[in-house]
Amino acid sequence: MNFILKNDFNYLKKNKIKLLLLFLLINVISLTLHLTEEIPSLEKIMFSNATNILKDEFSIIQYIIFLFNNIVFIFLILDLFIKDLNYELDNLFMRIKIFKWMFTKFSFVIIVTIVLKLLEYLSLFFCLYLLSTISWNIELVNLIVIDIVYTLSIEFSYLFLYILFYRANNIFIYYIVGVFLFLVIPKNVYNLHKYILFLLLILLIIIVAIFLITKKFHKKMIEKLRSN
Amino acid sequence: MILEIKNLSKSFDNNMVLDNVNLSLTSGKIYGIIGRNGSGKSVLLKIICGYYVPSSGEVLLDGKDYMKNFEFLPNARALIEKPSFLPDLTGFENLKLLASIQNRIDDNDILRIIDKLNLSSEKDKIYAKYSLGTKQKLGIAQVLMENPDIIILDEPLNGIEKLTAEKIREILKEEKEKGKLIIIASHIKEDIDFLADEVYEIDSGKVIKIK
Repeated sequence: MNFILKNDFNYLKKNKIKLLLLFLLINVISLTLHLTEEIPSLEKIMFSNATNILKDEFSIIQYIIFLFNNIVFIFLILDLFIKDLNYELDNLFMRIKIFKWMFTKFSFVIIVTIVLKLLEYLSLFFCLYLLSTISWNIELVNLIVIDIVYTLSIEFSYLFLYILFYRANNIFIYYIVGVFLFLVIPKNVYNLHKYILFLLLILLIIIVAIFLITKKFHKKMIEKLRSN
Repeated sequence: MILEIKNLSKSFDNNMVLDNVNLSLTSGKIYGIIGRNGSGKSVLLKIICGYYVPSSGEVLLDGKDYMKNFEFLPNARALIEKPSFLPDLTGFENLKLLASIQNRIDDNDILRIIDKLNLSSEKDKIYAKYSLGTKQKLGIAQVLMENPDIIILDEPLNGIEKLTAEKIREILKEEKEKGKLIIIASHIKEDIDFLADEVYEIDSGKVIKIK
């Protein structure tokens, strides 16, 4: 377990640090656009990280931030998952069972997602505290919790999608299904806090499905990755 | 221990790489596999390790089809791919981290194999600063350190200087004497001739015994 965690952490530190800093920076920059508005802190935060996209108030910037924020996490999970199947065969898979590998890998993804989301909100709170005012309430905590669960659901849904279509020779199938999924998923993240238990249940089902499918098809995935 | 390969074929997109391969490999021997680049040597090793699934046929270890449970080859270590280690850690730290996955050996065991492979002077340098040959030696160290029953090596002497190559040949012969089953693939026939008890050549997907 230690090997996978250290290996993944090192990989992120070495290869993805710029992307993760950009992710934090974009949300802070977005917040500065709403600093002077006479709206509560919660709304300023939701505008800045696009967690409250309203259908009747279309904003292209909000959609771009929503897309960017989610794509960063989708990219992260796919990258961490594929990297081992591609580069760690001799070192890792001759020493570990595939179930244990997945368990450790997914634990790392969940930890990284939570840490990044907390850093995102901390940077937003800090920015609000420095440049404006911040009014604390339970709604802020609700937002953080639902945003973490929502992001994890998106990440694992796309990993599930990748595993389902890994055999497709046409890469466009990923994009078509991926874009379709983005169009149909709810984008008002904050409003989902009423359905958090339902969302958690879906997340759990997706993770179990990934475990079962990967156990059966990981060797085919390795072959496919090598042939690309 | 017997590793049996029965009627094994493998094709990628209708391109037959291995065609009805049958081999019976036993402990205490070194098996050499030769063939030109791209002949299918690595594919055969990857199937034996359990990384790839055969298109048809089976691989049995002591009569058991370990692939049926979607597992990799048990009690084996391999160096088929380019060695992959953490660049910011030293050679010793990398081996220690790998050993921590199964916790079967301690620091002394790791140091012993480091010493055997003439890596002692390099063990505290970070991996990123290693030469190609030293990286390969560390790859071989990760294969040998946990005393596996089966050792699988693809082009193990690539980039390794003459003296160390000689040392590695000696070590492999020692491992054979201990009863290990060793499979080595190389496109350099001389390497294989010197080490192997039995030599097989892969050509156009067919495996032919030549020694």
